Amino acid sequence: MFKRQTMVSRVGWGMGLAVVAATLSVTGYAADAPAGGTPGMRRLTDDQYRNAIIDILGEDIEYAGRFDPVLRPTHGLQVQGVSQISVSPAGFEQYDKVGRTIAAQVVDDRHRPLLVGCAPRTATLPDDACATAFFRRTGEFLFRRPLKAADVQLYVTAAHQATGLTNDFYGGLADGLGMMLASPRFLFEIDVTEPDPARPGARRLDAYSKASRLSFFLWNTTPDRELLEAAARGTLHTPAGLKRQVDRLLASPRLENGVRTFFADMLGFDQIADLSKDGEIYPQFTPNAKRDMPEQTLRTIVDLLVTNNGDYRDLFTTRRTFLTRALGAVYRVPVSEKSDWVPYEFPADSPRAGLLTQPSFIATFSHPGRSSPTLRGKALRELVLCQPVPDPPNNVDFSQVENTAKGTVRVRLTAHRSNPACASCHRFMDPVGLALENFDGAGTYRSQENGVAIDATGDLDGSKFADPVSLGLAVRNHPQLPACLAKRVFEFAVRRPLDTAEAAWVKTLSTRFVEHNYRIRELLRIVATSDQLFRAPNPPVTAAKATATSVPSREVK
Amino acid sequence: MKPMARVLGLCLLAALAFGAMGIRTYGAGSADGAGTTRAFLVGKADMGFHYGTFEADCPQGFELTLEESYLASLTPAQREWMLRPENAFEYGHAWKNEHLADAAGGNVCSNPKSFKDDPRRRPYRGVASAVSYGLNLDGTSDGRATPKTCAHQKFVGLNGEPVVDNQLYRASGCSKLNRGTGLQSEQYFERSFLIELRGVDDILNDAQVEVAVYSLADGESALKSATGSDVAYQTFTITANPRWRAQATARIVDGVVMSDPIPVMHLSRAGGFAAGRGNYAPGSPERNFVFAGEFELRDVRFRLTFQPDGSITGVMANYRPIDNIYLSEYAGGRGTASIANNDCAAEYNTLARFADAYPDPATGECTAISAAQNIAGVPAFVVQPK
Amino acid sequence: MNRLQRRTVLRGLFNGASVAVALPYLDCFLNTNGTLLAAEGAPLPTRFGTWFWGLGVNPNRFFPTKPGKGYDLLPELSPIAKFQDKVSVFSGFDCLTDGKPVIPHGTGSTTFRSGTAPGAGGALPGATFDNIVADAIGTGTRFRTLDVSAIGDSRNSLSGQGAGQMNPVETNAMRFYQRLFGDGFVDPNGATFAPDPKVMAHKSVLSVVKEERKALERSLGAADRARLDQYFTAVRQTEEQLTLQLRKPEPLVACKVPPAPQEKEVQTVLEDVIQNHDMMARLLAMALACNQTKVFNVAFSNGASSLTRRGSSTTHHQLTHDEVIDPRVGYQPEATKFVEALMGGWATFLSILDGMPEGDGTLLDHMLVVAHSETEYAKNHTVTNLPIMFAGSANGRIRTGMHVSVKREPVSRVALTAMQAVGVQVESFGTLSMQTKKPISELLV
Repeated sequence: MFKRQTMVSRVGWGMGLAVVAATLSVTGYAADAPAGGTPGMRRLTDDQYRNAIIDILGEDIEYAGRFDPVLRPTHGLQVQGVSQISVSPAGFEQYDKVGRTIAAQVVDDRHRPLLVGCAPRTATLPDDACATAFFRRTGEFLFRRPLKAADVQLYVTAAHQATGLTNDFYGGLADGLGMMLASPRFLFEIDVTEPDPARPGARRLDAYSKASRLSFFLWNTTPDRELLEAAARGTLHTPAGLKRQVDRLLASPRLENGVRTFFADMLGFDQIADLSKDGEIYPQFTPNAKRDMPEQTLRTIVDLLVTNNGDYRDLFTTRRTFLTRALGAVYRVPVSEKSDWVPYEFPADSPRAGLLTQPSFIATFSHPGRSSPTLRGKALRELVLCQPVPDPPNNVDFSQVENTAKGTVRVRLTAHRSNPACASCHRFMDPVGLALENFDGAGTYRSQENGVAIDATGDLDGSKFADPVSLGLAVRNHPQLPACLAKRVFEFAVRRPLDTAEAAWVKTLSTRFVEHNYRIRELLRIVATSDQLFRAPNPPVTAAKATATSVPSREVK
Repeated sequence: MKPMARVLGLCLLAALAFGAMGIRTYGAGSADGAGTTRAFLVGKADMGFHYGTFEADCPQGFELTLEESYLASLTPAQREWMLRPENAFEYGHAWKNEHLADAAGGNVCSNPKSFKDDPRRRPYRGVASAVSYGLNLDGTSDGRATPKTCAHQKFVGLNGEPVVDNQLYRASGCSKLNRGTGLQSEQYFERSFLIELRGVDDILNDAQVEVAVYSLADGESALKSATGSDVAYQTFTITANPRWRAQATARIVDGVVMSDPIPVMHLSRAGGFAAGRGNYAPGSPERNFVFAGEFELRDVRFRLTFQPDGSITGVMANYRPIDNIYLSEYAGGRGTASIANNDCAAEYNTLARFADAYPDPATGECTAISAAQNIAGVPAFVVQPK
Repeated sequence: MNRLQRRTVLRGLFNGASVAVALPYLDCFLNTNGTLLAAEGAPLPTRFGTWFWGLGVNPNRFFPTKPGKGYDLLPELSPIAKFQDKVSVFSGFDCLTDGKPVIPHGTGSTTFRSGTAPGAGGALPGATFDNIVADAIGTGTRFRTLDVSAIGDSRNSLSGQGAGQMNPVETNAMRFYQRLFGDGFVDPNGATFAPDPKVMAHKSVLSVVKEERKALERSLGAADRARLDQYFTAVRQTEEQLTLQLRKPEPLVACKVPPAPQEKEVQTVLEDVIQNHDMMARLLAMALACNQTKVFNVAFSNGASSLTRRGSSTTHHQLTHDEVIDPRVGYQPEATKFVEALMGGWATFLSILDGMPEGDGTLLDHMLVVAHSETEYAKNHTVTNLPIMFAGSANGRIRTGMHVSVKREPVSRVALTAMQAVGVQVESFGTLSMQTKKPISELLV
């Protein structure tokens, strides 16, 4: 969804370096792994797919396609859905087409010298030596681990046969590469386990699985050469070796990719693409403003947490942000640059402070033609504080809330809070949402609704607030705030729903996050170097047992 | 953090302007020792044509189109022959080619002045209405000639002044191309422009304020809302070209802003119509033709009212040099004549006939025509060019 | 089993509820003898085309008032009554220009086709969506596209790759016939079949992932193994589709070389243009039935249409500006006669395509035709609420017979929907305010 912003050169960080591949120990792909443990299988997200193609093959490779959408599990992150989806027939058709589109570019005249790296003796005949070098090297990066000789041979043979049919060496090579790009070994991150020497009888993730997990977690992309080398040398299994790689990943400008992906997911930005507003009521909600909304928040987050290594809680009180002219019309402030982002700091007496007052939150959690204290309160509870709100009962009379002609929504919502069927949830959601009523459904400030002054006072689990800014302070100081972030970060790292046994660990994570002064880099470091990230559950189940037993608990809805 | 410091300055300005958010504000802008400044994006500036009932305004019907003027130039017998179905080809050729050309190969829409005395290009009859939008530009109550103006009829005004001038409406108000659509262009001047009110201490009564008018910088345009309306509180860089900036003193009386005249003012035209030759083949007469790259307005006066939603509406009255009108609106070569069925020469002769100001010292004929535009502006922020 | 049920099965799989449905599911899918797969031979190809008319409509006599299925037919749309179930109408889709001035009769069609409002001069800013479709599906036939204009204006092309390049158009039925059925035409029913080696190569490499299957399965738990089964089910389906492409296709029963038309140079007289259009539409339909092309662009009249009625030199365009609205009926009577004639032309076009049986339906069922004008209401040159229609179901990939009524959505959504419906890999179309990633999902099957 967002363009990547890194300074790292993008063309093939591993390609053309056959020497490296040759020195890597050939561990083999699940070669001798007896079935056991319950290693996970996670489909790449569309962004991960795109980032992997850019990193491995270069950013001038073009393709477009609609892959099967990832469904967000209830009360979870969207990315946790990748451990539950597969590939539908229509989805495979897309992967196959896109893979062939990409492969055709890799072998074309322009890319051939760099990306193929060798030339056949005759362009119309198979050349197994060249094909072997190509598939071994390319396969290692696409599959995120070295290929066994027999696996390489599969692709070499396939390309050989294809060349025999078409009399085109590069066409055959592209056919094989297209298949590699549609292979489950590329499209899915499939955990591989191995016996754990430290704990006889137990198993652990192998080093390449660890490398993938770290890379997708912190950079949202496929492992780079250095990480694969650390896996090959086995140093990822040592605390010092792991620490060295995690330090490197955390210090890279690419950390921004991971942080952006995480927060866009946590804050529900996937909803913004389908957001629409009534243009009569909110003329300021232009297509450009909608485009810039999530980017504004992500820039705010990266500036505070990554660039300035700030306190996570300050996201809810910070007065610093970034604006474009389109957002300037929503905020009603001047913006000097015509088409650039401009850093902006709101004055101390401004009603604007923190993420909750930004349009990416305010406008996303509103109706097309009016604000919604309930949607905002629910989003704050669920997304920011990890406090799930149950679905409403089926037979609710909304007419009173929807009649917006008179008075303030606070009065209209009283109906819900005094109706016992509604009250328990609405008492939980509405007061915090009502604190944001000073912002209309598009995110512009207002002091009144229908001529009546807006009352933004209330209390959040015992801490009182009087306006949006003091609500931000109450959220900042809420004990659930760091705990929620710690939980979300761990969920993001493992990309699957957590099981009950992990609750204690999440609690520990939260405590340690607080001890580290709410610095997100430290939280990421703790998760990235933890055994819990690389856990392969014990005791192992045998293959025969696995088919007979029911679906593991985390797969059950 | 340097950029932050610079923007902080802007923020503080904004904070001052919006420090009291609950108070209704007019326009967007800033305050300094000399009163507040408020800027408005003028997205609407129509042609100021008041359409009453057709019978009252145009009792003799529409003005003639090019084709109709051709028919009118024929004898009844010629007309009857031309309109026979079997002569359709000759007829089309006659009015789309011969009728719009002069002996030198020029045509009514690229060389209108060469048709000045052509009896087939009679000026329009003009509207018969007694009321019009506009302001009293010549200061007279009867439209008599003055050293700066030619004798003309006055209208009863619809914008707050009792007797007003709007000869452009009189000239064009019964033209099919205008009135036939029942609509007026929302933005007569093609691009939105900016109005700034400076030194406002009291928006109800202030004896001394300033009005400034700016074109937007090259390449800047206004975002429109999903419904096509102007979006308030956008920021714009004003043009760096001093030709496209103007200002005048003004005063506010009972909430109405009234400006003194701006002697000469120009507004830049949309990029697609910037000064230059049309897209014509080398050697064609249209090749010699040069579009005006800007609108020229003289003796520009404003009469504006603050609206409860923070916007501003009212009228902008001025004299338009008829050559500038011609070169920015009607001109367009043969195609304008034959496809749009527009007799540009007749239009030009009409403008000359109704022109009421700036007499040519040699001939005494007026060269500019009074006009008015109803305008609407929404609050905007203004940034100086770098 | 119909398509809706297939969806439901998929959803069930996604929820992880089922483990062992892979094979039955595959079978039922292949047994579907709807429009996706022909009973025996290779799938019937999906074709795509555009049909353009100039100068729009009278909005209040054209656009249905009821949204959805079974929309009401107002007078100007009544000619298509017979095909209503196969025609969808769009309302409320706008050309957004981001502040660029509207070029009368230029901005509307260019913005719709290219997803970007043209700048000064009106040159095409980028590839038109019909060209994008041609790049994707137009290869492999003799003609990448066929472009014709029924009105005798050889510049009447709305399609191109951008940067000033426009597809050339044919205006003469006789020359069109020569091009199609003269030198170089090979009767598809007479030719011996040679499978495409590229398809054979594609199919042969699919075996690689199947070889990988065992090693992968060994390490997985039951639920993940079921997910992997779904993946391999999907692979098998693609394999089956490739297999079909390698079989000799069914004879193209509808393909019969037509007699040559009369030579006639047509200019702007409506009655002649109608006749020219009918002749060229019949030739085009036969070219499609004989698989000579998969993509076409037809223009009935031009923007700022120079159509005249026999015996009159007044063009349709002039009438839209000059003619006074008759207060008794509320529209321009003479100009409206042209609109009605144009919609009659559209109905004729539909009847020709729908009159040609193919597979279990008609030629029209296996294509998507996008019909549109360059303006909503020519008198005012409006480019909002552009009149657009879809005809045909694109081999069952798109729902038909709908009135899709929205408010102020970018017209690029319609183009994106059309491209995706005919299988183009495209996720976004248009620039600035016209940029969209949202197809009209209610239409896509």
